[in-house]
Amino acid sequence: MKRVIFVDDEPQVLQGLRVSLYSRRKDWEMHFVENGAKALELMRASRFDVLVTDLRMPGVDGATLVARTRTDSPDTIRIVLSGYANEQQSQRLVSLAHRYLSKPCEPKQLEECVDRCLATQSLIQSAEVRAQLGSVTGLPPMPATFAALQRALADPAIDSSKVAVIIQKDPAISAKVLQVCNSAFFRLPRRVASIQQAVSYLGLSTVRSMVLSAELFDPGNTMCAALDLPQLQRHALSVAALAQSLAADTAWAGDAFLAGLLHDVGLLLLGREHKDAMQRALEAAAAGMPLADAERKFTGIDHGTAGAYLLGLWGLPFEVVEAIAHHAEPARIAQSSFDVLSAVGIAHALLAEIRPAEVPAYEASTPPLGDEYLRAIRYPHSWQSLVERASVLLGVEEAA
Amino acid sequence: MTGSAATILIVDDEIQNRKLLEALLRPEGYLTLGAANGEDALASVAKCPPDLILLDIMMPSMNGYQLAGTLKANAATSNIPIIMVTARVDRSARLAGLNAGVEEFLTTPVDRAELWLRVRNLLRLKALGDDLRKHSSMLEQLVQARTASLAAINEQLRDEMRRRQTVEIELRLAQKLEAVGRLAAGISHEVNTPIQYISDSAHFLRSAFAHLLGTTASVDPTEPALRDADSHFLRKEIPRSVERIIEGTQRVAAIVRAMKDFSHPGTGEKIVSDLNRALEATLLIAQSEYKYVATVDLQCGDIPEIMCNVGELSQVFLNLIVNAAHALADAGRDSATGRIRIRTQLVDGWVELNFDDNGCGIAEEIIAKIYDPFFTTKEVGRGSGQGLAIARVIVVDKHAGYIGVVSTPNVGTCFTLRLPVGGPAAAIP
Repeated sequence: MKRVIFVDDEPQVLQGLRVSLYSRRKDWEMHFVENGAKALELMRASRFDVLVTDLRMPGVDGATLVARTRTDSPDTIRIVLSGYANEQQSQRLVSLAHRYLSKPCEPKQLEECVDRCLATQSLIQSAEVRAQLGSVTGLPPMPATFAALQRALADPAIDSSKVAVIIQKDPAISAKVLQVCNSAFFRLPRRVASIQQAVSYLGLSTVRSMVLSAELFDPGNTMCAALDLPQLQRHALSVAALAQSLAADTAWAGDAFLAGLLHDVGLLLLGREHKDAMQRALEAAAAGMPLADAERKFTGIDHGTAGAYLLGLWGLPFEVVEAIAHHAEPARIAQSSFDVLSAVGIAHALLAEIRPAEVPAYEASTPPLGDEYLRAIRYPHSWQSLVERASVLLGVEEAA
Repeated sequence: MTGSAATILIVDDEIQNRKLLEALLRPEGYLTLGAANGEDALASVAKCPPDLILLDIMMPSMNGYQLAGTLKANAATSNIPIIMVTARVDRSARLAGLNAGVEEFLTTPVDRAELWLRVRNLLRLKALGDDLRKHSSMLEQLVQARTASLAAINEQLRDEMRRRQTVEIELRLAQKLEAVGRLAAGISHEVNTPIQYISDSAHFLRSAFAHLLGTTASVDPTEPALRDADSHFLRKEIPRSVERIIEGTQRVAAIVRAMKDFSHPGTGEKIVSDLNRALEATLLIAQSEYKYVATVDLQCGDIPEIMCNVGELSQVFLNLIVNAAHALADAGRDSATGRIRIRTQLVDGWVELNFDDNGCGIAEEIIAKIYDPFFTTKEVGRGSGQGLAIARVIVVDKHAGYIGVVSTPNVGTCFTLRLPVGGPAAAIP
């Protein structure tokens, strides 16, 4: 039974939540408290799996509560449920909370959110994962340039020239970012010659994602023979561009791009950390065993979970972590809306369908998606129309 | 007489008389001209206006009175003083001369001293009169020039007043919208909290009642207690009431969300974008809205790419196109008669976009309200009244641009957007 604590200074809201979630009383042990101080006290006394809190409360407010929980009980899922829509505040919370829900939030939406967070969390926090990925110190730290960018972006007055200065400190990364910017995917009207131009044309969040990808796909990595770094990188960019175009005009298009670029980061990690086991896993997968099963059999962990675990440690948005954990089989997660996970999942499946020749042998058993999945996430277009759209985008890249 | 020598015209048909007068005047330094009759005198005056005329009365054809009358009647010559030289001393002759406008009389035989004195006095008077006229005409010119410059300043002031009035109206609108935005943010928080628990409770009632119905399904509905309570009615109406509550809270929630969107319409970042391409893409998306009521004529001008949030601007384009489509539908247009013309061009450092339709137009009495949040003329479900309010926020507040409209009822509407080429930073003075 999962333990969930709800915090809101309005008793009526707590009562409403209590009755509307009554059908979940067998899965969740629910506690309802009226202020932050009491919540902290309860959470000190025993561990909770999920915290759902309002923001504006007298005394210990929601932001403080979430921050304290993050330090004191990092594995607890932190969800903000607030009727208060202040952009700056939610910006700050993005890094602190796993999810941000706006009041009013229908019971189904809240349940789905909690279930999904728990599913991903239990996956990447499982005993097996800890055992496999071992001591946290052995894992690669967040790459330096990306980390510097993350710190710089906390400053709201940051502009493209300051960003360019940070990126240009590493000429190899700058060159790689420019190379990606000038690939046909982005259909830029002219050659981008500087990082500053790249930021003006593609936006900060896209360039930041490219920096992270350039740092991760470092050719200095020595991996098992079945993994081809340039191919992985090409594939990652295709998925990212597709996911971003599917998510165009949404607030999270940037996250979709980032998740697309990083969806196979687990392969890099396992291919390096468990070179021999991974080689055997990939060979078994090429021989027909589902990839995730083979990975779990030989290395004890699949690459989606491994990647999600690593990015979770780095503090990337939870939507991105979740998308990476389930990108190969998004349908495994019950969801009723189109989001980062479904965008990356769809992009991944579209690519496999349109370019079967480019799918590495070890990924051949990835289950396809179709109209049924699109209906489940209430996506308003047909699979066929997506295939056509994606073919156009990929065709452009091919022609160039 | 000062300055150059004065010119005196002597008019007499007797040459001896002229010679005599000349002889009397020349030693005093005057220049003299002569004329033997009225016609010669007029010609001489026209050719070279003298400072004084000595005039005989008795002359053939035009006599002295007639000549004096003619000269005095003419504005160009009326200022030339005339001394009538005559042998007649009778009263009627003098009156006739004064009537004709002459200034002085001299009787012959002429007394030298008297001639000099009268000539000198009249010349002095004329000089003073001339000065006076010169000054007053100068004054007149000065006054005219000053009046003209005052009129110009006046016009400038009027322009400035008009400009200030426009700015003031825009400022008032901006303040009003800002106040509405703040209010919306505050209200949405206050309203969302009760909606949360109303909706939670209603969802609970729905599932709990269904559960209850399931467990009491086996109870005999003809049981007296149940019959009294009209259980059939309750079984049907309770779930419907609960659905109404849920549907109502969903609607309130949607309105509050729209208000919130208005106060914070997205936070995407600005990148360099091609608006012509964005327009093409938007037209593709909106096709189902307009294809039965209009043909679209997209005239892409040669415009530079600009720094903007292209997603937000596409939303503005979409709103304008959908509005145009609705206006065309209301005017009964179809794809053959309806027209939406969209034009992009570069105007004085701004990218200008025109959305021009021949739809039903906007009534004059509501045109000032179209940017007010929640103002709508559309029936429920067709518009939230947020489209133009959000368009204004996106174009004016977030892109330092301009949005304006010209509309004639039953003729059509043209919206104009202007965006600074250098991006919002370039437009801030």
